[in-house]
Amino acid sequence: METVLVVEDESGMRRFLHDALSTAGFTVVEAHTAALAEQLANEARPAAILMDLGLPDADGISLLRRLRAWCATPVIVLSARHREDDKVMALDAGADDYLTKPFSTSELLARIRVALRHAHKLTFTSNPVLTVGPFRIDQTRHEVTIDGTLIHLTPIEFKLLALLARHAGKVLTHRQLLQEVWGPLNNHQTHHLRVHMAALRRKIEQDSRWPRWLTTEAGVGYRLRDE
Amino acid sequence: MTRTSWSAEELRTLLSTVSHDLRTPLSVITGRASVLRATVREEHRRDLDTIVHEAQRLSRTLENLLAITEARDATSREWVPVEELVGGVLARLESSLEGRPVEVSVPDDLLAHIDPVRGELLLANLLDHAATHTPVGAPLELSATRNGRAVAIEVSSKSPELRAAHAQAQVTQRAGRADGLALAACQTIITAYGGTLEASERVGGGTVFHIHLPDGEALPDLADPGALTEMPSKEVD
Repeated sequence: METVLVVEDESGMRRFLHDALSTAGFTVVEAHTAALAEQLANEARPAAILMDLGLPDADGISLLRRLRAWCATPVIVLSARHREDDKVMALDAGADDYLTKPFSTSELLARIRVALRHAHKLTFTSNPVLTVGPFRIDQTRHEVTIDGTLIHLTPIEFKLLALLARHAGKVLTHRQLLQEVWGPLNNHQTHHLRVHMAALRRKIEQDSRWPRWLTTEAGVGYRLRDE
Repeated sequence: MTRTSWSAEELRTLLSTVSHDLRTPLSVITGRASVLRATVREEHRRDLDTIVHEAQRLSRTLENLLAITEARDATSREWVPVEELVGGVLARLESSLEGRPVEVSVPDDLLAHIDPVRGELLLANLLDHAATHTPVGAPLELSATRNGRAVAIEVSSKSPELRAAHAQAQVTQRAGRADGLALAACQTIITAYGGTLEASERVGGGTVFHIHLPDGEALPDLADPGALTEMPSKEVD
C-alpha cells in the first residue's frame, strides 16, 4: 500500500483528504506545519505529497525548494483559482502538478494517479516511441500519427508535442516549455508559445475550440491529457 | 467610536481575507460531498451533486468578488489567441452548459491583449449568465473579430428569456444578486483595460453582449519570432 503525505494546516481539509485517500487504498500521514512535513517526507517515505502552500511556519514555496534538495517524490500543490502566480512559482520550484480548490475526490485521485505513474517510470530513458491517447509519437523518426494517420507538424510543433507527451497528464508551465523547446537563453515571449500551441491544437484536435487532449491552464501553462 | 468609512485599501484587504476564509470551508464541503457521493445509493447522488454544484457557484462568486477588488489596478496583459481563451472557457463551463451547443466563430489568428485568467473569467461569466437565463439546451453564440486596434467580442443568445434591458441594468449596476456580481466583475475587468461592455437586443430576437477591448500596444509581428531579439523577456534568468 502506498503512502501519501498530506501537508495542510486546515484540519477540515486534512480530514477530507485523509478520508478520500484512505478510501482509495492509500496510507495517509499528515503534517500541519512545514517542519513536520520535512520530517515525515524523510521518515514515512511517501509515494506522493499533497501540499497546501499556506502554512503557519513557512511559505510553501521555500518548503518545496528545501524538499527538492534531497527528495524526488512527486508533489501536488493545492491552491485557489486566482493564485496563478503561486502555482507557476510552485511548478517552477519543482512541484509536479496542482489542484485548484475546490476539487472533487475524482480530480484528486486522477492527479495522484498521474503523479505516481510518472514517478514509476524513468521518463527520459523510456521508449523512443511515446503513446498517449490516440497519438503515437516516434521521437527518432520525428513522426506523429493520430489513430494511425500520419500528420505533418513543424519542428517546433513536434518538439512541443513530444515534450508534453513525455509528461503526459502533467501541466508544464510556459517557462518550462519555452526553456525546453527554445533553449535556456531564449528570449521568446509567451505569445510565441501560444501561437505555436494554437497551430498544434488545430492539427491534433478534432475541434480546436473544444480541445479534448491539449488543454490550456490559463495563466499557468499547458497539459496533454492522457485519460 | 464608530467607523464611518473604509479606505479602498482596507476594503480590498477585508474582501481578500473574507474570500480566503470562505474558500477552505467551501473546499471541505465540495470534497466531503464527493467522498459521500461514492458511498450512497443512486437516489441520493443528485442531492450531493447539488451540494457540489452550489459550492462551486459560491466559489465562483468569491472569484468574481476578488476580480472586482483586484481588477482596478490590473495592468498586466499579454497577447492571447482568442481561440485559446474560448477553449479554456468551454472546458471550464462544461458542467453548467450541460451539453448545449455553443456556436463559436473566431478567426484562427485573432489575438487579444488581455490577462488570460481575467479574459477567461470575463467570457465564462457572460456565457454562464446567458446559460442561466435561457432554457436548458438553447444554443449560445460567441464570435470575435479584430476591429482596427481593438478586438470586438460578442456573446449572444436567440432566446427571448435573456432580456437585454435586464442584462444592461446588471452590467451597469455595481452589486446585487449573484449573477449581478458576475456581470459587475465583467464590467470592472473590461473597464480596467479601457474597454466597454454593453448588452443590447439581438437582431431577430434575444440578447447580445458586446465587448470592445482596445489593444494596449502594437500587435506583435509573429511571422518570425526569432527576429524579436530586442524584446525584454521575463523568461530569461
